[in-house]
Amino acid sequence: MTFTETLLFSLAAALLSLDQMACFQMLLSRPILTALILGALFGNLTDAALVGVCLELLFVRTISVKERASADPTLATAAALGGIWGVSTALHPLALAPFAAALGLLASFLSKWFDVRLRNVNVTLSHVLHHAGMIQLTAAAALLAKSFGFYFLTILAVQGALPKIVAALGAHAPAAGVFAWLALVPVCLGHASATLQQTVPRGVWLLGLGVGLAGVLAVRL
Amino acid sequence: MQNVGFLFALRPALKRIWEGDQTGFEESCARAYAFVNTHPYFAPAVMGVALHIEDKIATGLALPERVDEAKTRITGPLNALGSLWFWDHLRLLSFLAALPIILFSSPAAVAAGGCLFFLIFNFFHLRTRWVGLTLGLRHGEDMLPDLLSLFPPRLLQSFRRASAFLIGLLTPVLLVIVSERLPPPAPGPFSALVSGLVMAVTAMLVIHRRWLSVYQLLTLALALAVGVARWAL
Repeated sequence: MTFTETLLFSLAAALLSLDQMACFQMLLSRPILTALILGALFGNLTDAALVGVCLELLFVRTISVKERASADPTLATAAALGGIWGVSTALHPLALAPFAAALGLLASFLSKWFDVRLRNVNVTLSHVLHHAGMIQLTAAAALLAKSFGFYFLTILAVQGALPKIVAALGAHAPAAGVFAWLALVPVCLGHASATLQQTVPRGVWLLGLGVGLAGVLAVRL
Repeated sequence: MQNVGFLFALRPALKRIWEGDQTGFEESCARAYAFVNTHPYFAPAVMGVALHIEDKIATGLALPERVDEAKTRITGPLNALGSLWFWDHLRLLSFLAALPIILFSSPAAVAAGGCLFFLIFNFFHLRTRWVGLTLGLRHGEDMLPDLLSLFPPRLLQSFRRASAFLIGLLTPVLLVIVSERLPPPAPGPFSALVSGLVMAVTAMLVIHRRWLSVYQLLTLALALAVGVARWAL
């Protein structure tokens, strides 16, 4: 990915993130749809789908409602995908994905902290702009600029950090990447199942598991 | 909260209701600007109710206080209903229903799965907005039973069961698909497998901050089995 492509990538992700609260709320900002749209525009759909599915399962109960700020699922997805498509290492892009996803998750939790502070700044700023008579012009632009700037910097940081991680792992990097996936998938699935647990009879889940296992064995053996 | 957007959306309609009466229009704008907060998908329903009452106020059939009373009465329940239906159940279920198609390895199937998720969810989302607005406009506050009849509580339990079944079903499928789509690892697969699972347990403990549930332990055991079958045998 060139610098311009990274810029466009961040812009697309920032536009999608506006769907969280600012407009539509059609779930375009959820990891799975963000991943598929970014994949169709900038990379490939099948890798994007796997990353998007895992992050969607991890963010199964996270949604920004009312005044409560939450970790930003769109940012985590954009940072993970921008990371794996933005750097060229000896590794298969998919083997790189768990590390990129971990960095993206870290960034999205930092963004929660950042968002709370930014809202306070926004209040002060909007008073200043109100007195300058510029409030209509700036409301939408400031929202986009805020997410775009933050997304762009995060994606650049992830792209900078990924080669260092691969270099630090050295010869173990390919195996570590593959097995980090085998760690990531159970974490995501286990998280989603455990979140459902509060309301769902365990038997239904076990029944599904049995059917799935039988199906996989029947197809593969 | 949502009052600024509420006023923005109602302004053109209010202007028409209070045509030729500037003070009436300004007072109605002040009423629309009062505190309102509900689930976004039910905001059109509240708007419909507010307009229905404004219409009555303009013809002298209702007192101005009725708008605020109606808003306080219906926004809370609709907020809870929307979070429960759309964000807790429908989002998860429509995602899980589309997931088997998304996991196919052909880009066309992946795109079709994404569209399916988007369409299932947004069909119910947009229908709720439209039905809420028209019912609110027509019947005012009395529309609540009609609107609620679209959301029978009995369905929620089936949604939960379907989600639990699908997520159980897709656990082995996703593990196998990921293991098959990845390149084979370099030498030392068994130690890498063990370190991967240690990472998984650590991550789960960090996320949940309590000991692992049966679901997580079973998922981990399955991941171990898949990993051994794929690389260590």
